[in-house]
Amino acid sequence: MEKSEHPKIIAFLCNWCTYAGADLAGTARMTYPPNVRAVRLMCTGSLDPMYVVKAFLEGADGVLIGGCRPGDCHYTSGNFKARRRVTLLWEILDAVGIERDRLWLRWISASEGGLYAETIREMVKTISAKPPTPIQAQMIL
Amino acid sequence: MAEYFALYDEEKTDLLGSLSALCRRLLEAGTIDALLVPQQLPSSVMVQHTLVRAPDKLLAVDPVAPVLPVNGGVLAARLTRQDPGGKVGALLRPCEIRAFIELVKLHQGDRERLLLIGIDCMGTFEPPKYQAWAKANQGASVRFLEGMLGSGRPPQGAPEIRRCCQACEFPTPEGSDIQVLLVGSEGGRPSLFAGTEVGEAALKGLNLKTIEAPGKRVKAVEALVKRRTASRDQLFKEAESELLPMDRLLVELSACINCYNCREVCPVCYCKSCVFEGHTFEHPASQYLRWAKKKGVIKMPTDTLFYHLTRMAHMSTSCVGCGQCSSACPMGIRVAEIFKTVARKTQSVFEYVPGRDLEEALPLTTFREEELTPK
Repeated sequence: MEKSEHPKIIAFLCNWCTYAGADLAGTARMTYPPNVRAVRLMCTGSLDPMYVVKAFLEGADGVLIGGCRPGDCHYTSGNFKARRRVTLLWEILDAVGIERDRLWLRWISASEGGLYAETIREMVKTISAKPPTPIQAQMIL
Repeated sequence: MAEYFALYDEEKTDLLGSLSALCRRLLEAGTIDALLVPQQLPSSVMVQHTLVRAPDKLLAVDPVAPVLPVNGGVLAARLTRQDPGGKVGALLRPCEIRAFIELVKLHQGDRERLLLIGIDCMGTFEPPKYQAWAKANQGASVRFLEGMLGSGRPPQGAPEIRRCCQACEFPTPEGSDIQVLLVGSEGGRPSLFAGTEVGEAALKGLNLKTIEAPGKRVKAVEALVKRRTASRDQLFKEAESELLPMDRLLVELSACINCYNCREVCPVCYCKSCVFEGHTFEHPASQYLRWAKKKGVIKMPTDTLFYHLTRMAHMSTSCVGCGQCSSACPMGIRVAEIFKTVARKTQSVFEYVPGRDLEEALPLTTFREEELTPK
């Protein structure tokens, strides 16, 4: 399994939707690449952008933020706020040379285990084709 | 509404004296009980913000001195966050006003509690350079202003205007109650403009002479903004080719000593305790060894790039481009140039202009259901 270490993807998943979707993918024995490390949050709206930055600085090749579909947020509007933060991060990361297609925002509900597995497959495929991020060769963290 | 008043009395024709008289009359008339105003400090050439209650302590009012040691937006916020127990006025530059507006949106100040007096800004020098130049030149600030309004350049022998001021496309005090108009004035006689009803009432209360709108102003401001915008675009171009993306950014940040001065002086970095001061990133010793193992070598202290990128994420949408961060950097890092360039991207994606309008919500505190749709 040595090869599967690249790409490394950090997934910030909301407790109510995408994390449950990921759980469903597991219990339904769906297969997807083992490159993803999930971090469970109560809501994507509670994710400070700095933790996405931190993930890239610590060597992530990609970051997935998974939240509830519009209108389904357990806290009403956390996913909409997350969408704004992702938009902000795209601008900042892009300016410093971390391309937009390394940071994904996806709405995946608790019943969509298949979509979660498919998303990970697609993301791993996209990012595998890319060189390492410009941070990884640097000694300044 | 929208009335113009004469700044100069019949007999008085000097700028600083007239501004001082305006401040004194506002205090004496009881329009305000206290005024935040830049003054030259006793036995020094340095100009700093002062809070004046006694009109006879308006000793050396000088809001045109090309120096801005502290962005006064922060001070105005501090004076209005709680009930100050009296009416407060503040004479500020445009970048200070815009920072104050951002701080009000961040619930750090109260616009209603402040009589905002704004003044056209011709730019500032690095404070130590200002100090040296002003020491050697009597009447430095008026000479500077004459140079800027005349040839568009500082007088001969004066220091260079700070890069961020050259590139500031907001030279006029939009949104303030009383506006001191220096650019495009008739016969070199500056005028006052009531920007709000509060400002109009205040000026009318002083029985100032009303005048016609300065006819040359619109064109003169347009020309000034055009020059500044060209300089700003040049700054962006330079930043894109010298300071971004990652490899160039890290060359510039290689001098960073994690002193966090840029955050300390940033008017919109308002958090009482920054995440970089707390325990969140106080890593255990073993963590450093793990990082060093992964990369073979890491620069110490760590969290340098992380700090700057985090600050971009936290405050760049509110960055007013005042340039205090560059001025405060002991290592000469072009912090403001980097931040201004990134901020332009983060602000324009939300079509947000910081400090423009109190009614415009901060981009990260609001949303629309239909926008920015992901796949």
